[in-house]
Amino acid sequence: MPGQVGAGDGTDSGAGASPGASASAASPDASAGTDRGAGAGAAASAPGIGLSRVAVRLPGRVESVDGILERAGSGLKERRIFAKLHGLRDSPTLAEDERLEDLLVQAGRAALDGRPAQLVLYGHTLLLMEPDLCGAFRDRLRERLGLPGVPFTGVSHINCTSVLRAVELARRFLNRPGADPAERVLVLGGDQGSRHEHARVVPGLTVAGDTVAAVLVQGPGAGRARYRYLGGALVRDARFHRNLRMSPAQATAFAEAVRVQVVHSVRGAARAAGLELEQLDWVMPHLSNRTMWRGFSNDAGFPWDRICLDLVAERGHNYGVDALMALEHADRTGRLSPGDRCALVAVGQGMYIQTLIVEVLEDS
Amino acid sequence: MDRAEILERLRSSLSEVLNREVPPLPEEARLFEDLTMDSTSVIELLMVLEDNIGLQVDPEELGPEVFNTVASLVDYVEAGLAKSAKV
Amino acid sequence: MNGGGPEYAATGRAGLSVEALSAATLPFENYLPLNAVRPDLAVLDRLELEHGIPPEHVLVLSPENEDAAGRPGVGALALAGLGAPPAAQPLFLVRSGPLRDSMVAALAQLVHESGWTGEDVGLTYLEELSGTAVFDMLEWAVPPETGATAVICDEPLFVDARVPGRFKAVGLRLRHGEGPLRVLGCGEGAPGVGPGRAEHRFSGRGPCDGWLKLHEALAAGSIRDGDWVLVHARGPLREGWLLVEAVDPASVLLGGDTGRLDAKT
Repeated sequence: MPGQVGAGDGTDSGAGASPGASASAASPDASAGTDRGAGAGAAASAPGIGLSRVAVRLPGRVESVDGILERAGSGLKERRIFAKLHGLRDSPTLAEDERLEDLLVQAGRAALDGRPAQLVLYGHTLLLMEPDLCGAFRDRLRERLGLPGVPFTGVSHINCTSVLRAVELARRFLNRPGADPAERVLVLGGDQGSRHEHARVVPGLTVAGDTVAAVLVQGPGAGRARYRYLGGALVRDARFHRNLRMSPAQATAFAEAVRVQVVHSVRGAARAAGLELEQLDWVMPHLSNRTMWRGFSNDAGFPWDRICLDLVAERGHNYGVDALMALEHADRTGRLSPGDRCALVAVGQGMYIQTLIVEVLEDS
Repeated sequence: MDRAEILERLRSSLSEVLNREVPPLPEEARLFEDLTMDSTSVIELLMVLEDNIGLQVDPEELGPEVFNTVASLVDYVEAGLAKSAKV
Repeated sequence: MNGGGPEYAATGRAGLSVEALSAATLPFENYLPLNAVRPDLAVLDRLELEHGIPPEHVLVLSPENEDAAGRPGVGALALAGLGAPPAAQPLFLVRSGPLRDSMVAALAQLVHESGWTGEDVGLTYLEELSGTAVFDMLEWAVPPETGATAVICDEPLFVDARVPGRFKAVGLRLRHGEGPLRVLGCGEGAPGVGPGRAEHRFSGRGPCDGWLKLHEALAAGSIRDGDWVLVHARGPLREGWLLVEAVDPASVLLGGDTGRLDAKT
């Protein structure tokens, strides 16, 4: 069984998520194995950490999920499942002359909106051979963002939980001893899976696209925020580290583990925010497919129409930016009200499940 | 196709998916808890139903309540077949 | 030399200490000449500028994923060299560049095989700065109540065929406050006058090179109490430094690949 590795509450009084308190030995293969930890939780009270509106940048092209699967050699059965059950139709794709770096700059500048940031964290899933994304990429990016010399670190190796984890790290930075309450952290997210077909398809589960998102995480004195951080939780089950090399039996066990543990993660995050799961107003989901969230709705008893799945067909999964993308969509289309508590959920192969709870604030 | 026939086709499809002979299904049986199905077998069941009885699955209309019990799944199949018949 | 100079008022905010240091190296493998990989994988005109290697001498890590099941990598060896922490604490894998097997979640594998119970996260894009300027982040990211472990890996995408090399990793057990190696400061760019006065300077091109030399010097007993040590990395595009005070060098717990550091890089 996996464990809740850490839960941060919204009081932001210290170093953030605390590690698990006890351990049990990992068992072989897919039978058991735990990272059992203690959850922490306390009611949110202080003004705390805020998030700006999310900036999303879509690449210039769209490919059909079915076409991608066909090129990847997926059988007819899998293609039917993706279309009929998972509800996946299109995947945003970089155009021939488009670069991920340009989208990151656009999204980043939109999120900054002329404001400075003291730190940049770039959450990314892929760790592939990408000459455009090594070498001087980091320095070019911060120059183009108008943040020369600002500390810039990538957050990764935790697959699609990287962007929400970057938000948690940003919170830790803003709460460090001696922090200026007016400080801000720019969190960027997005990957270019379309450049590597084998990295784009997760067999049986989803196809990933090239959408980029950015959000400013800010201290209580940094001006008006759109959302307030209330709490968060992380669940990890490293039995599934073999990822794309998992056997069919392990892949089935993985799907089941995700189904069960997403509920635990959301419940843990809600409690860290001083809430029960039933008190959440929205789930902004990891958009891998509709199937996963039918299971969540059933298991958690969470209203189906309060899981924002609007984008599954036209955008699908886009690595670590799904939940932020869903939040942006829900907000822009007027579905959110001040006071709404939203669970942002990300699932990473390996396996990691990161959930943040944010509260919608009055629109400035 | 009446409800009893749908129930029987569901039973035979489930036997195909689980690769074992499944006894007659009580309508109140819960798919996950009582029939020990999992996410993968539920998906496969729907695909087999599409192939075997002409059900057309629409992901936008497939809500989580469909997978609560045998009865809820039969309700969904019944409604789906009725819709196909009208088209 | 004392550590209270005014130039350290701004940079000496680091409150971390290193209490254990492990080292691991493995022979290079699976590097290919550029013409053996698809042309669109290499940006030839930037290779020399950004990686300091003339294109005709570049070897690139094979893009073919290699299943290394059962064969621990340098990161795993470095982590094992530290031993288990006294209590659950975060694990930071500081590693830039592509994975040698992108089909496996390398950090989750490290967690699973070591039985790690604290949280884990990977830090990327620091390249040469992974062993030095990363402390700017570690200072606030390491929880005061538990400390943390950092594993710094150097498995470069491009290498110079003319220069023998090895995959490298170092493991660092970190805590806030006093400790055997007290971090005085770190930075991006040239070390400057203050750090430049250190009694020992361990430099290299990669993120682990300076730490491997420090590991060797500690093992040889050549660091004296109170000495300042500069760990320095300089690549074609970036330079970073970390200044530590050897408060009690004899009590630094050393682990890992001490016997094979003669395989110079």
